[in-house]
Amino acid sequence: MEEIKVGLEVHVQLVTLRTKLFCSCSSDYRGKPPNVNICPVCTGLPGSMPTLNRKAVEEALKVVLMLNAKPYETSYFFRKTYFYPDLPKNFQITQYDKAGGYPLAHDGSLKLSNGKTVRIERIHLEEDPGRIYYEGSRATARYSLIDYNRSGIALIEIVTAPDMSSPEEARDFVERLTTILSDVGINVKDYEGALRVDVNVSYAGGERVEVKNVTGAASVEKAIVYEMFRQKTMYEKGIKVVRETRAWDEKRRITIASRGKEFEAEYRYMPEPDLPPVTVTESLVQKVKDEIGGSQEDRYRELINDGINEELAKKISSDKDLFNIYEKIKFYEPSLKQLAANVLANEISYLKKRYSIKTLPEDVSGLAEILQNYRVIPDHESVVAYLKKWMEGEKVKVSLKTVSAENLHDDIMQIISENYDKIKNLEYNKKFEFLMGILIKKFGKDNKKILVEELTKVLNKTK
Amino acid sequence: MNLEGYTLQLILKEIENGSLSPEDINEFYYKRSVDLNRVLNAYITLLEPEKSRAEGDLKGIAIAIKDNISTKGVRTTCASKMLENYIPPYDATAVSSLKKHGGSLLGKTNMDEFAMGSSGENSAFGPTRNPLNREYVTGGSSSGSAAAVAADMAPIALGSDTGGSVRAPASFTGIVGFKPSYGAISRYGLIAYANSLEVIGILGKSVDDVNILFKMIAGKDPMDSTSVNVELKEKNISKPKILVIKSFVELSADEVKKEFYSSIGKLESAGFEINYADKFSLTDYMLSAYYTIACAEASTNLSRYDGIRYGPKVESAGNWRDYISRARSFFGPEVKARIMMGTFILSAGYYETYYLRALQLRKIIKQEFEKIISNYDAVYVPTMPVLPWRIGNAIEDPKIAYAADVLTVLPNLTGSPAISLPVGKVREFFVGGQFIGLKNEDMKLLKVAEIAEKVLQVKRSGRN
Amino acid sequence: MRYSINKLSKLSMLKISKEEEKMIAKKVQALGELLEKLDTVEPPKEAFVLAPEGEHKRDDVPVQFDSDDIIKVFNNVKERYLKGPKTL
Repeated sequence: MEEIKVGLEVHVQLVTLRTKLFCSCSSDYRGKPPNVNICPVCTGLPGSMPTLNRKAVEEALKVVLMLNAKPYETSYFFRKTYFYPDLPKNFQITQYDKAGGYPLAHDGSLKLSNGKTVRIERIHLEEDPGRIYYEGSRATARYSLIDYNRSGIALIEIVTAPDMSSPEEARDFVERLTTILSDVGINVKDYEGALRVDVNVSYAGGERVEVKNVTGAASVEKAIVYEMFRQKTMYEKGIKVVRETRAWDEKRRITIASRGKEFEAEYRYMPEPDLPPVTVTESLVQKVKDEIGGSQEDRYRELINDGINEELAKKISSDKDLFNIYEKIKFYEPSLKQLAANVLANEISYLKKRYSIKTLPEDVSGLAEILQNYRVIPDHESVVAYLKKWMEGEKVKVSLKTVSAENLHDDIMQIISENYDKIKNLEYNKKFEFLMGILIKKFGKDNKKILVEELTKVLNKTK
Repeated sequence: MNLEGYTLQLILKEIENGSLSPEDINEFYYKRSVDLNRVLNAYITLLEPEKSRAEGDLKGIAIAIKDNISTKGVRTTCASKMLENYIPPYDATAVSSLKKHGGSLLGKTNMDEFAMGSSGENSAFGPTRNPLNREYVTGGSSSGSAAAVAADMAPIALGSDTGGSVRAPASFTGIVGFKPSYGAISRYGLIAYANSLEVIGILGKSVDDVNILFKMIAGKDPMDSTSVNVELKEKNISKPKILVIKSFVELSADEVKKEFYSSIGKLESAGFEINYADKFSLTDYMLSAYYTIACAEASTNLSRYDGIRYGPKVESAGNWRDYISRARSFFGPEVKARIMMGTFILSAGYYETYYLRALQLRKIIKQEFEKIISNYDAVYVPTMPVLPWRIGNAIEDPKIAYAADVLTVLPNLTGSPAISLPVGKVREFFVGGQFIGLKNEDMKLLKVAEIAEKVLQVKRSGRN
Repeated sequence: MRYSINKLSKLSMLKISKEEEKMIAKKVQALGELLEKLDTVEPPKEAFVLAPEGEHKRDDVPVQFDSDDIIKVFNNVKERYLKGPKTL
């Protein structure tokens, strides 16, 4: 199997903003009638001028910092010209990294679940175009219907290097990114169309094909699977893969050649003369850092409210991963939260460091299993072993020690000889209680019945 | 009642002392405009006077507004077939400021289409004729605003100035044309031609008139990110220190030069300190830098005109690209030429060659000019290198019109304030002299111009 | 340098009529001469942006513009949508 290279351009709506990027129209358009959140600026009326939303820069910087990217102190807006009915000015105000332009940030990274690091080349701000609809089938429609509610919505664009080598890795990237975004409150899952991906795929070192506007991690994976297949087929037939832009057909699960706006290679980028540069100062970065970290206070408070002691609460609230797990366990089985806090702050923390485990699994059912059976796991080593298994993403099934009568007989004999001095002068009932205590600790309450039976047998025999 | 020759200042005084009412005033200008517009073609849209009360600083007076400045509910065409029936749903900030001060709307004045032109001949609604001699051009692009003020069809008018478009027609019609510092007046609502070069300007009969209106509409506007607050306190200057750039004067025709030097003599006698510089280093490149930047910005600014949202309705035969191209055929030839040139400048492979070089030039020109002006109160040069030409004469050779901008583009490149006022007379025409100041020192410049105006006393017919 | 009116008009999405082609070509040529003067100018060592000064940011507070006023401006409207040409 030849290698594929995948790079992604992810467009994320900054859903935490109340207004659009360059005008004061409300950004809350879903479920509203068409063309209600519009004004001269976002409909490109003659004489209108853009004004930058200060909060958009801050929200974008949150994502920049979460992705370990470095903000440029000064960045610029550029006009990207192309004609299309959903773009009211027939140019998009975006950021450009050539011709003297600087994007908001550069050189970040995101670690996939499999440990691979995907480089993020740049992150920048830009405006969303409006939407085009058709009545009935697109093929038979004689006109388009255009809605500018979405025109001007703030987008952040995250551009990766072509570091992914499989559909699964690309899917994982999108999923991990979605989690990171929700960590800073940008819950794209709650907003239809808030995360769209342009997928760039090249097979066996051939030309790069761009598949535009794929929505959702699962579709990203499917689109790459199809493109791989399409390009591989062409390659094997000796047909050269042409560098082009394609569209993703969700229904038929194929990519199709796209004509129209993608035709123009030339965007004639020019600096936007109506907008001053974006300046990101040290103090702004610090302010944003505090806002991200400020949720640490929220986490701490919640733990304290749950009755978790200060030391544990401090430890857990400082690590988002740990806290996430705590929350999930709490939701799964509230009675486990105390134990969970303990284990998270101690064993899991230790294991994270010791084995350089960067991210904890999404699925907490294995951990819950361990916690639920905590008291019957015979020793601490076993607990740690189980936890490590879970943390490394393996399936965990706590097997209670198999208790069979003959093994048990030997164990009981051993326990009696070990504790002979303690029990030799005890009368029967006390002896029984003492030994039961040890046995239950070792084998678990669940095995009480068989323990009672066997112990009785043994004691009666040796009587 | 005859208000010919009345300045705005005088009108406001007479309203205040009860001799005149706003209704009478607005009625006079409206009737006169209806009359003279047939010949002069200064207005594209004339509005019947509304019942005005003497409120605010402007006491209900109706003002003429160039037709590239958005007026809510009133057609705004930019003198183009592309916007022939476009009615803005909002007022430009400058317009709402005027209204807040009690002003009202007299009409929308003719201009070169989308402000592209120096003569007033590039209008889809016909050229504006010079009130001083109707066979001659008024200058552009604020041609209608200048003609209206010069012919007493309006007490005062707003225009726009991208490369001289307020000062050129002011010079050619013998009135005062003021280009404020870049950012001093909000551009929100000014239909863009070249965003980094243009400003809204004021055309009036006197420096005082222009001063009065400027103070009402200047100020930082949250809707315009490039707007700034310039100091609006009156300045006192006893002995203005002036620099004349000889190489600029030498670019002018003899008859202009003669009157210009004569005006210098008068100023000197009145106590102005006159200094000379032989040349300004990048004189030869100013026009190139200007047109490169202007065309590039224009090509993107005018991309929005595609007939889909507003503009001429085109039948939908053919694909959507054809539709757009056909709608955009409604632009005039000058506009099309500048858009195409702008497209060329921004296209791959040429951006570095032309656009970046023009930016570099602009940077240096700015630095040089700031150095020069720091030692003086103003630079003084002619406004136009020639006197008005006959309507139609420049058609065969487009270079004539482009070259006419050579003395006016500098303040647009640097963002400096500049003002033109009549400083001499040649036959029926006037020679305009131009004072250029330091950026954001508009009030100082206005003071220098005010003193010069009093000294030179170039009388147009009528009263002050 | 000769400028291709055909090519530039296509890139600019402009339809040029036969009647105006000559006049436009003259203007483009004249503008071109002004442009070409820049050939003799020393280019900057690296590309830069000459952006307007100052920093001007807006608070994230929604303001409702009367959207009906904008719809009134639109050429063709159907149930609040702008009717436009069909795109492929």
